[in-house]
Order: sequence, then structure tokens, then C-alpha cells
Amino acid sequence: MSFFGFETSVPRDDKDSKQAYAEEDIAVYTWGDASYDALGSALEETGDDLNDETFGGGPVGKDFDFSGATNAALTNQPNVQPSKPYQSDLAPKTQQNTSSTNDLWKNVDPSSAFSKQVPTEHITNPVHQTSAAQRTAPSVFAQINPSVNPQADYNITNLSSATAALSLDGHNEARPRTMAEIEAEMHAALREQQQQQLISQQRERERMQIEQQLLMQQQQRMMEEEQLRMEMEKRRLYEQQALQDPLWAIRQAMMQENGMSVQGPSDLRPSLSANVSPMTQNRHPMSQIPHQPHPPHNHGAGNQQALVNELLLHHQRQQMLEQQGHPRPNYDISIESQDAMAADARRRMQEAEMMEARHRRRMAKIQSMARYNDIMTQSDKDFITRVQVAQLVTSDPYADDFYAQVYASIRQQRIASENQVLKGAPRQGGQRGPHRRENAIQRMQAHVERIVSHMKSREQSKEASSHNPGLQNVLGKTSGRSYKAAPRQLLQVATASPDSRAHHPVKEHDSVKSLDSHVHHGDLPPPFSPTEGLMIIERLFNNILEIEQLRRNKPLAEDEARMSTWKQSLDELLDTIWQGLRVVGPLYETNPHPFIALIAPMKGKRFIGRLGRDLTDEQKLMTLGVIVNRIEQLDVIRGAAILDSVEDSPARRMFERQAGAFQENVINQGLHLSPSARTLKTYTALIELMIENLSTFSRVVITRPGLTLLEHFFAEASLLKHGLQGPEGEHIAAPAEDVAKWSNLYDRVFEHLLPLWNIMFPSTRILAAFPPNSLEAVQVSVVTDGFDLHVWRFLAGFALEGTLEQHSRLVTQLRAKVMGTLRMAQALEEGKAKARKIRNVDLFLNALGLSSTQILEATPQIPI
Amino acid sequence: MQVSGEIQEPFDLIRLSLSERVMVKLRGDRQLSGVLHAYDGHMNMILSDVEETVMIVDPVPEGVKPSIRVAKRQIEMLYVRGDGVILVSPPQRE
Amino acid sequence: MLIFSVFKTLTDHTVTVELKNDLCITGVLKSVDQYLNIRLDAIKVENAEQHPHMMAVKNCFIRGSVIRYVQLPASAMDIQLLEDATRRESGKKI
Repeated sequence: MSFFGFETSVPRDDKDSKQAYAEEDIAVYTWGDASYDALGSALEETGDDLNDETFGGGPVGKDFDFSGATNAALTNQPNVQPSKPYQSDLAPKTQQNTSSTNDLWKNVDPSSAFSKQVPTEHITNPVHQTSAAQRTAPSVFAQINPSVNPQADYNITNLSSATAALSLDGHNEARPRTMAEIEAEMHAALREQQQQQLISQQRERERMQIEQQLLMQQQQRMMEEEQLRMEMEKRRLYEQQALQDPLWAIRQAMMQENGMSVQGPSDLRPSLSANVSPMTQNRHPMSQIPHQPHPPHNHGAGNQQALVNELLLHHQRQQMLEQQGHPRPNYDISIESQDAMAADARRRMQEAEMMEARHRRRMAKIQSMARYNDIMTQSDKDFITRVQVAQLVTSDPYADDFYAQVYASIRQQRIASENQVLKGAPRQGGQRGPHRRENAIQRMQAHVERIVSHMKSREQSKEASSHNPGLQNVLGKTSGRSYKAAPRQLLQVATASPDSRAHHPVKEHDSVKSLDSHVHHGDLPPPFSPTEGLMIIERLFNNILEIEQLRRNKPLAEDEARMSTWKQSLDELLDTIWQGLRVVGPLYETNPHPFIALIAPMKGKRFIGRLGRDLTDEQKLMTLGVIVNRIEQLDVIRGAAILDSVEDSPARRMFERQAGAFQENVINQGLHLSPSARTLKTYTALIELMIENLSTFSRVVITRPGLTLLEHFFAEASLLKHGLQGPEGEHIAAPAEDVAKWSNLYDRVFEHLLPLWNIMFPSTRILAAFPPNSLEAVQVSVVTDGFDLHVWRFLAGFALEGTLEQHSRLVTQLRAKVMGTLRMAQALEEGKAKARKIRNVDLFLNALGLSSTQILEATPQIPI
Repeated sequence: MQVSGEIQEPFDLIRLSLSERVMVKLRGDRQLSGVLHAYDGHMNMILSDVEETVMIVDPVPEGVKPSIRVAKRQIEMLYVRGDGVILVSPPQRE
Repeated sequence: MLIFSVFKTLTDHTVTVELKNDLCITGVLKSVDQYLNIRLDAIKVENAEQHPHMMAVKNCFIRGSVIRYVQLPASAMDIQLLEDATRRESGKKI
């Protein structure tokens, strides 16, 4: 069907294809020519009788005179239709129907368009009229609505009007002449067409340029927004990455310094490269056309821009191609008009070129300004570096990140010290703790050897003398006397009665009482509840943390002002701690002593361990005094009975930990005296304090923690007694009076300890429950050997300091124990248990210059 | 710190248990016993020497009394996320 | 930030993460953030037969809120430092 102005029927296709061929010749139509086709004769010529009835015979109005009316309206030309019936009617009517486009559109007769297609004579008059009208004003529509109808349609309508005109004319009398006329008219029409096309092209180009400019402005705005967004994103990503991985941030900062461009977070890079290539591809053929600067960071929204760019470029490309002379179908233009047209076209092209040049210049300017649009300036880089550095270096790194910072520094120190150890660098500072222990043991061993050899030589010198006949060949002879000498019961469950106490003044049967875990403290209340105790400890922890922090921030020695304030605050804190420890103060007769109560929890013991370098010697000595004074209040003394249990239990394990922490943290670390305070006098005093109350002493000494404490004091004292090694290796002897006092003390302690030795051994206590020498006893003894170790050890150390006479008495006292242990060892198979028993005994025997092998060889089967 | 005897904040009480053995009740019928070394405001905690006890109820048919199984586990060092903690308590004192 | 700080020192150590859905994952701790989200590399699921969907997973990112426990290497922890850090973190209110 035909639509207004839109030819849909077949012959139009022919016209299109003819256009595409770029023909210069105008097709000559020979309608009406009899020789045209044979179909002319096939037409029905009859049946016209009823035409008037069908179409109405009256005068034809102006309603359908479309082209005539529009032509009149636009060109102010009266409709001149030579030799056309009813034309005169049309003219005034067309004059009446002026301008309105809507009327024009209304007046389009669909049938007229249709009829133009058919090159026959059968076209009716009104149609002819309209097409004739259209003929004279072929491009009216073009002028009115240049943007609406595409160019092709112009040709179609105009051509069809031309053909219609032809057919119309064909209907009239002057047929052959009209052919030429028609041809001429067609030429003119086409020429006009071309002109108008050029104009329209130009207009279009202008429009395109305007549009382009608008688009470009839009683009620019979009690009700017994009850039802003990109920067924001980038900054955010930077910050996030810096948070996660400060090393990355540092690396970026370093790279910046080295002059490299800052690379965005790694996920941006692939999109970067992906976008760059299509852009570059687009650019090359478009070198003439000014191209917009493509932002290097383009993802997502950037693709829209790319599309827009593409569209514009395509348009431009088209225009370029058209300009370059894409041949237009020129239908029969005369040469002069051609020249004129060419000049006109050239002028227009020049104008267009100038505009393009102007446009290009502007774009170049914009581009040059925007060349560094998306690259970071130095200020941007500085900004980001500042942010990253701010993340890394806070005002107080210890505020938020305490654990990590201090852990790292500790690791470094450890590695540094390990390296030192590997390289064998001398250790700085005093040798503390375990190192001291080891050295002490080594020195003791050397000392033992010296003494043993000394005693051997003494023995040999005294061989002749018979001062001590009893001591000769002491071991190896079993005299019944020793048994009868001490017919005591080893274990008594019942509480001690005053009688028994009188009978055996030194043997404390009520030692059992102290092994009872729930000891009645006394009438006095404790100073504070366990909870309060913990709170005090926590407060003290706060203080020690402050001190440590203060030590980290120690000012330079030169800065005197700050140094003095620093020292002041340090002293204040130390004083606070000392007060908080409650070692000394108002009447502290509570039970337990506040300090003792404070070190009862594990936390308290560990806290004291950290005070090693914060307490003065005087304070430490005071503390030691309090400990010894109230030693029975100590939790590790009170609850020591649990160590006699053979079964392993969580409570026992806990107690073991507590006892270990007490000796290690409190005594060895926390209250470790500086060399100046470590004198023979000090330890003499301390031990004297210990033995002040004999019953207490007896009870304490049979506990492991108590005995360990005594051993500690004793070891220090004996070392000091034998003199120190000075800086140049000379021997610095202890002051004589101190030594004398020490010897005195030693003898007293010896006497006190003598009856206690046997019950000091946990195994003795434990095995008393079993039938002696039974298999069970032997089995249990394997376990208890471990418990005995500390006693054997102390015994060895103690014996070393004794005189010969004291040795013999010791031997007498311990014969049963020694022989019993060796007997059990003989009963056992070769193995660890046997070896341990022998080792334990040897500890003691070697100190006396004897050895277990002597006994074992002498008596292969030790009698019971 | 407030003078002892007055009411303290709950976190102060937890602070007293630092370095001590505590019992932690968790969601999902779980219980932990361990030595408390670290905690924060969310009740995230780090415990050592931990014993975890899980109460498992086996699905049983109707009418049958459900039996409760207990599964225990020992872990040397454990971080516990605070959002699962119901309560923290010191173990029975002597 | 205490726990975050602790985890930072544990990077490149092997840990075992137990999630609230009982999934246990052992892996090398690669990174942690302020929300205690965790990235693990070279993971191995402990109870793999119950969670077959993790068979092909080599590395993973775990949201902090779904973690129930993290088993830590005791050798990499400084207990005293932990306790000190906790005391500082609690703001010395006690």
C-alpha cells in the first residue's frame, strides 16, 4: 500500500538500483510509445461509461490539489497548468490554501502516489492534475521539512512526480513535444534537487557539527565526572590497600620517589591495557579528524564514552567519505550549472573545512590542557603518601598496636642476642639466674674435687694418728649400735603430745601437722579477701607497665630538665609499687601478712619476678626478711603436703607450678640481690632467721619449697665463704669474722638438721605406709626417688662444708637410708630406676669422698 | 580504680582473672576451661591449656529419654570469638 | 585492636580455624584485617568427608563473624606480653 509520500510498490526498487549505479544519463521513459511494450494493447479501454457515475460528474474541487496548493503557498506562484482541464479551478483554490503544513499533509491523496507508479494512460484526471501540480513544485516538501524526508525519498517523490507529469502529459494532445519538455523539466527538477541536496547536506553537516559539539561538551562533562570518580575510587582503594598491607604502600611511595608513575591497585591494570588498544586502533584512521582525549582509566562507564566516540567518528567518517566525492547520482545536469554547483560545493566545502579546522584547533587546545588530566600530579602523590605514612606512623605506636610492636622488637633482640651467642661475644651485664646457677654448680664441683683431694691427703697424713678409730673403715662394717642409737618411729599420724615432744625434743612427730593442708591460721583475720588481693595485684601491674613505658621513653642524658622530670616520675612509680606491696607498713600482724597474701596467687609471684631491677637491695632484704619471718604463712609451705602424694592430679600439678614459680620468680628473679648486697653476712643473717624458731624450722625444712629456700641461702653463703674471684683473677677472701660467724652457724644448723634427715626424704615418709622391703615398696620407691632428689642434693652441698667429725655423724645418721636405697637398687634390674637410685646416693657419698661402688662391691647382697 | 568493696565494672572482674584459670560458657552447649591470657571489649579471648567440653544430644525417637554425650578436646592455645561467649567465671577457689 | 595486633604477628604461621558451622580449616594465615577477617592459604579441611564442597579450594577468605575458634601455635605467642597488652587495652580503668 502506499503511504504518504512513501512508495512501497515494486518499480521504486528499479529506481533505487538505478540511483546506485551513479548514472549520469537520465533514463528516457517511453511511456505511451506503442513500441514500449505489447501490453499497451492489453489494456481495457472499455467500461468508461459509468465513470461519471462512479466518480461524480460535478466540478472537481480543490480538496485534493496538494502540490498546486503548496506550491502556490510557498513560491507565491499561481498554479499555471497549461491546457489542463479544471486547472483554472485549481489556481484560486491553491491560493487560498496557504502555508499550513498540516493542510498539505492532509491533502495528500494516497491514490495519487499509487497512480504515479503506473506508466499507463489509465490514470484519471484528478490524479493527473495533482501530479501536474506536484510537477511544478517538486521540492516543496523538501524545503518545508528538510530533516524529515531522507534524500532517497526526495528522488523518489520528485521522480515520481516527474513520471506522473509525464503520464499526465501523455494524456494530453501534445504528446511528442511533452517528452522533450518533460525531459527538460526533469533535468531542471533534478538540478534543483541536487542543489537542495547540497544545501541540505551542508545544513546536515552543520547540524552534525553542532550536535558533535554538544556531544563533545557532554562527553567532556562525562569525562570530567569520570575522572573525579576515578580519583575518588583510586584514593579509596589506596587507603584500603594501605590499611591491609602497609608494605605495599611503602613500596608505592618508594616507587614514586624513583620516578615511576604510580600504579593503581593491581586490579585496575588489566582494564587499562584492554582499553588502550581499541582506542589506539580507532585513532589511526581518524588522524584527520580531531579526536577527543580518551581517559586512560576506562572501565564500565568509559565504554559508553567509547561507544559515543565511535558513533561520532563513524559519522565523521561518512561525511569525510562523502566529501571526498562519493559519487552522487547526478541526473543530467548541464555543464554551466554543474560548474556553478561545483563552485558552490567547493565554497561550502571550504567553509566546512574552516569550521573543521577551527574545531580541530579547539580540540587540540582542550587536549593539551587535558593531557595530564588523569595522571597524578605531584601534589596528588604527596597527598597519598601522607595518608599512607600517617597510617603507619601514629603518634603512639604502642597505643593500638602494642603487642605487635613489642613482639617484633623482642624478636629482634632475641635474634641479635642469638647471633652474639653464636659469635661468642661476651655476655654483657651480670650473669643472672640459670647462668649463675650453672656457674655455681661448676664451681662447686671443682671445689668438691679440691676438698676431696685435700681430705685424702689429710687422711694419709693422719694415718698414723688414732684420733678417730671409729672412723676408720667406717663403711663396710655394720655395727648394730647405729640401729639402737635411733629407735624412732618414722611416721606418727597422731598429733604430738607434750610427752612425746619432751622425749624427743628434736624429732618432730607433729611434723605431720604441718603437712595437713588446712592449717588453722590463728585468730587474726586476713588483711584482704582473695578478690581484693587480685585487684591490688592488677593495680600494681598497671604501675609496672607504666614504668616499662617510661623506660622506653627515656630522654637523653644531656637533656637535663626532662631527665629530672623523668627520674621523678620513675621514682614516684617505684614508690607506689613499694607501698602497694605492703611489705612494711602499719601494724601488720594479720595472718597472713599482706605481702605473703599478695604473692599467694600465681599472678602475684610472676609480678614479683618482674621487679628484679626495680627494687633496691634494702627493699629486697626487707622482703626476704618478711618471707622468712612468716614462712609458714606461705601458700607453698602450707600446702606442701600434696607433694607427698604419689598420684598425679591437677591440684598437685598446680602446686608444683606454684612452688616452682615461688623459687624462680620470687627468690631467684624478683629478690635477686646485687653483688654489693650479696655478702656472707647477709646470708648468715637470713639463715639465722630461719632457725630462730626451731619447731617452725623443722616443719619448714621437711617441705620441698622450704628446703629449697634453705639450700639457696646456703649455696650462696658457702660460695661467698670460699671467696670470690676478683677482676684480675685474684682470690678475694671473705672477711674473717664473717667466716667465723658462718662456721658457728653451720654447726648449729648441723645439729638441728641431724635428726631430721631421715624424715626429710619424702620417700621415707611415703614408704612408711607400705610393708618394708616388700615388692610394693620397691615399686613405689621408683617414683619417690624423684622426690628425694632435692634432699640428696642439699645433703651433698651441706656435707661439703662440714668437718670430718660431722661427716661421720652424718654417715651414721644416714647409713640406713643409704644402705636401704642401695639394697633396693640391687634388687632392681639394670635400668633407669636403678641408675637413679645409685646416682642419688652418690651425690651424698661423693661429697664425703666415698662412692657407692665401694659399698656395692663390698657387700654384694646388702642385708636387711 | 574504685576502692575495693564498691561495685566494679564487669570487665574489671574479668581482669582479675587474667593469668588465672577460668571457665567460659559458650553458645552451642560448649564449655571451655583454660588460662586466660588476653581479652578485649568484645569478649574475644585468648586462652591456653584449654579443655573444651561439648554436650551432644543424640536424636532419639519419641518417647525415649534423650541421652547426653560429652565430647572433650584439649587445645594448647586458643582464640575464642566474643560473640559466642555467654559467661566467664573463675573456677572454684580453694 | 589487641586481637588484630596478635594476629598480625601470626602471619605465615599455620593455624586451624573452626567456623560456627563446625567446619575446621587448617591453613597458613596470610593476612588479617581490623574485622578479624582472615585469609588462609594452602588450606586443608579437617573433617573433609562432612564438607565435600571444599575439595577444590586452595585458598580462602573467611569472614570474621563466622569464626568460632582459631587454634594458635603456642610457640609463637609471648604470654606475658599478651597479658600486658590486655592490661593496657582495658584502659587502665582498674
